[in-house]
Amino acid sequence: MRENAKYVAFWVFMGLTLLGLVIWKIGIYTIVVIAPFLPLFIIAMVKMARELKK
Amino acid sequence: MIIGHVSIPLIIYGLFSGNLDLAALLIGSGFPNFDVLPTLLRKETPKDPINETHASTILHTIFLYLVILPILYLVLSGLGWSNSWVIAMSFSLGGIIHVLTESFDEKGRRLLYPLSKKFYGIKVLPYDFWTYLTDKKVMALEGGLFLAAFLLLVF
Repeated sequence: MRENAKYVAFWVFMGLTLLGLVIWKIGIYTIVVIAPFLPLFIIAMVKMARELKK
Repeated sequence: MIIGHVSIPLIIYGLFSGNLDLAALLIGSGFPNFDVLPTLLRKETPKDPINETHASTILHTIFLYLVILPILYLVLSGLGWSNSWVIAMSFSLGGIIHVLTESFDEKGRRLLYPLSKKFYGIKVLPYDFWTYLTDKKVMALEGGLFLAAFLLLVF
């Protein structure tokens, strides 16, 4: 899956940029928006990291 | 959709910012994905993805958000929230947009639930996570939505 690293990098770039936009628009309330989804996000990231190490 | 669940609400907020609550729109847009856990924990793609939990529960139906809309409005109004309609509408709109945009993948979604339990949609995008992540069509679509959201909110 190492060949997919460039795709993952692009997804991460888009995700972080949108996170920045959300923080810019709603400030501290971003925590309220992302908190419920953090467990799912962490599991997805751990799985993605494992796949990339293969 | 992955990034689309954030970029599409941001685009809609950019177009109708006076009538929507962005936080409620984003929470609504992410809400259907609470049924994704078994899919995240699976070891390999099943032969028939329609049988897996993700996108097969009531969370991925338009019906649920039409039911939630008046209930959420009444609850928030009862609590004395002045913008209860905007929050309820934004949350439900986020959920409905999520379901509709995901109906473009090859699994489809239960758009007519509870009238029908069949999966409907324009099935042009891949469903499997890794296939989706590395598909050039998807990159173009999601990248375009990302760019539109960025340009709309920044400029």
